[in-house]
Amino acid sequence: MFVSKPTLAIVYGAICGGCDVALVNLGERLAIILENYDILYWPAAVDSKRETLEKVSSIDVSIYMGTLTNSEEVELAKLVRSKSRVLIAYGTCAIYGGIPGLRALINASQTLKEISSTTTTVEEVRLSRVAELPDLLDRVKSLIDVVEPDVIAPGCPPSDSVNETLVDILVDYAKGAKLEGKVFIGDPNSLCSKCERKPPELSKISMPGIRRLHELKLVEDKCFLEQGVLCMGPVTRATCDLPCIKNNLPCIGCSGPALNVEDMGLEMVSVLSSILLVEREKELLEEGLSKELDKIVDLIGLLYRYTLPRSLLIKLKSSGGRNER
Amino acid sequence: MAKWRPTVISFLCKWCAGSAAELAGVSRLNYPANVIPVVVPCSGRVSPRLIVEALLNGADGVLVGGCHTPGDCHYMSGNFKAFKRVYLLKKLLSQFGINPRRVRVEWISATESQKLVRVVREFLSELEELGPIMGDVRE
Amino acid sequence: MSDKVFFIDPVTRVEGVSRVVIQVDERNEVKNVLYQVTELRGFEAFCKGRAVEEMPRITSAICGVCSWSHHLASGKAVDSVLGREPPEVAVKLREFANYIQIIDSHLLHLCIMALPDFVLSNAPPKLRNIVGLMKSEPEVIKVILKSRRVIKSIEEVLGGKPVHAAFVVPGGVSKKLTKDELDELTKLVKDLMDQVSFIADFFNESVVNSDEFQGLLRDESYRVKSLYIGLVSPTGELEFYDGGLRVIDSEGREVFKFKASDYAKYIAEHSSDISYSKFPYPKWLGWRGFSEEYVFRAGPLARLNVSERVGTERANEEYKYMLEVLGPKPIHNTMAYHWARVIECLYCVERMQETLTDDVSLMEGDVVDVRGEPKEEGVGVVEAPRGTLIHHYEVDEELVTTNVNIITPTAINNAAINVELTKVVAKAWKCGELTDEVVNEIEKSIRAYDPCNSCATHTLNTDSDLRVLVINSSNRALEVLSGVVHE
Repeated sequence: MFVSKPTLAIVYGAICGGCDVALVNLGERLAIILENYDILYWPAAVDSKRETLEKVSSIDVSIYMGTLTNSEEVELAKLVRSKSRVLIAYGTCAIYGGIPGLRALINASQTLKEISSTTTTVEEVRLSRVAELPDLLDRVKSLIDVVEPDVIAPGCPPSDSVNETLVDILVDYAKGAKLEGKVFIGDPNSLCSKCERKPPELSKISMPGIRRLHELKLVEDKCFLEQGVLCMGPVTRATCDLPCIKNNLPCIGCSGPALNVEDMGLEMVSVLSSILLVEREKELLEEGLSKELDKIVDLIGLLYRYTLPRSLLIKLKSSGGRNER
Repeated sequence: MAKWRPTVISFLCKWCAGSAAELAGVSRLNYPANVIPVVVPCSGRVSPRLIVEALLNGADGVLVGGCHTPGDCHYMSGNFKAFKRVYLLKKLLSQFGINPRRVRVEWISATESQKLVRVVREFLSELEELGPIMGDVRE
Repeated sequence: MSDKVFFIDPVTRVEGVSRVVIQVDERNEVKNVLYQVTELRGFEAFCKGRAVEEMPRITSAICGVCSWSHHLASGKAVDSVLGREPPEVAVKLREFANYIQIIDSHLLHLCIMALPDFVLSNAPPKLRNIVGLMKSEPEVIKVILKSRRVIKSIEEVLGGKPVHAAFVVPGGVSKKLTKDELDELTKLVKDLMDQVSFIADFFNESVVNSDEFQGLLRDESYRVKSLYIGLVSPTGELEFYDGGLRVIDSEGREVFKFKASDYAKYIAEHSSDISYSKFPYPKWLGWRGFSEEYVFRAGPLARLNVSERVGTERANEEYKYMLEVLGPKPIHNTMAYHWARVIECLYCVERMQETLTDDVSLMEGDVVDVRGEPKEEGVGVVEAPRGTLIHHYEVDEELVTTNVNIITPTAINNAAINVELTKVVAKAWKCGELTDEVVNEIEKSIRAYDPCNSCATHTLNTDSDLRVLVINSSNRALEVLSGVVHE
């Protein structure tokens, strides 16, 4: 049992603000969290400064959101892990890198030109050196690349059902319950397992070709893959209620990989290969199939939109040893 | 110090390419030792992840050997799946700045042991040019 | 004998990650003040090489507080590239989405971030926040938290997810509304109207009429006589989705009116190492550093300054009342932004009700028009909650992006924030140390802009040459080194 209210810190990497909005959108449930915890740090809503985190000796629960893109964010992640009894990786950016993870193939020196900070004034203003902006990492990372959290809450931002479970965990913890091992919130199966558009005979799914979003009018109630539209459903974790699909747009994988999917992009390559133009393989042969596959103009943008830093291919590049920060 | 030689993992389907490897052995054809054969039931069984795991574990190149298209695959169209997988994987490797020439798919029937040896030798010499996988970082 | 540097790190009760740097000399006099946005993700860099039709769901992630704005601006840019004109129903739905986005963001800012400064101005920092509001204004907090549910539900009907919606498609929107959805929206908007009215009444009673706020509105240090920019309708009315861009000067004279797609002739961007956010500026004037008359401001106050009138009943009344109290236009006091936000919320919810009851049925007709001739580039502009938002894409023959330029309203306000901060810090630094009170005085000025720091720093300069600005103690540009600003 806690003698006084347990402390809660909400800490940021490179964020978009959506995870903060998701918390505020808890509505009345947010009030419950605020009643059960002493908010030590939450820059969007509360006035504590960075030194609060540096001075405090321990934190009961920390929620971390955002991608790690600079050296300061990496330090903050380590600081928060070392001081927190429970660390929650909240949102897909913290777990897999998220959309900012698309910078994982663009290093800092490739994109930032050298900005010389010569100060040639009479008064010797060395502003740039004194208040230098944090160094960008050459390769952006997820929180999980650097520390191990206790709870993982995926989603971009996490869905209602993930949030409900998280609020339960937080309230129980505040009341003295212990956290049993690592918790990974959400249904681990792929979206297809819950999708209403799933064709009745899975073994007969066939993609009639590759259609980009502007090349057709999307049909409601029909499996996107069967319309030729790339849908990440087969490899994505079903932690949401399929809102995009219900709104007639394909899944883009924002919850991260389903159980047993180590690398979303590689798995999806396999999925696409299994079902693309299966009735016409012998007619089209390698040449015809290649032509169709060439219509996927940006594999990374579709297949790794949320998980690039955790991809096995990034691991392969990193093990090259050079340009690693 | 010994000169560096590339390591290749080859996934060979048992019905065609794998049998060709057997035949090469039985015919005492000179088959380089730094190509490690792994027999699989069908080239279509080889997932992109498997190929990348091989590269992660130190393979400088990966060869997928299957039956000729359109009709030789014992499981009807496994070879087409293998083709598409390798094709997409190579595109992906390029986008990542990893040389796509490190992964190859070839159709080699059970009697084409000579072709297998030729392919393997060509691949190795190409890889010697490309250098070890560890040095392959995007410019 | 040396200078000292103080940090307000991070600036709190704003979106995103930023800090204030105050450099003080040995006599404890303020030498230099900077607003630094310290996070950077690099969208303009990693959005190159992307399939252009995917950009609306990628750029939505620039900001989770104004994700719909990016989604819509991006959608318009994609339509522009593809030469498509969405059908009327789709435009109505997109405008409707834009209205709920404005309300969502404005109420979030007002209630979670800004209100504590007015309603809890004497509270200690630990209570000057939503927790304090729960104690001192429980009824208001109840309405606010309920409104979150309503706003979220409206967004879910339109776009599936309330943050990072799945809504826009090239040439339209993803689907029509069903009768059930329309009924649900009607009910939700009615609830929202009650909630917005309640909050507007509360704002008028407890904030506008308070000495505190009135004092702030008359405080010279929060006054910036800048240029203003915003969309206006063809008849000069407040407009968020279409229309043209209008720029007025600090005396209220129209300087330019132009098509959104011509933005690059009028807005250029300046880069420096003091912040990861760039500094858009009036191209025809050139970059003159942090000088009032040479900077733009965008956002609610700017919009009310550039518009001739507000097209809905209650909002227009409130607008006229604000002008009575603060006018004539242009109103320069930054604190008026808060008031402008409330007026815009009223406008938007009134428009939403109108949309649901007018002739164009949201359930009938096509929601996508796929006809159009693609071209090499396209521009999409909307008024986001914080101001004018511009997405500009260039593509190759495969419709893959080769160049991406995004100008966000917080970036547009970046220079003005710095101008104002210098004044505010000069005034607040009287006691010579960074007490809680002084920090809050300073942050109030920043908060009034409702900066979206994540938006401001989406960018990484890739092939542009950078003009490097060296700033001396009086904040005037001293030396300009190398190259030309990339546009």
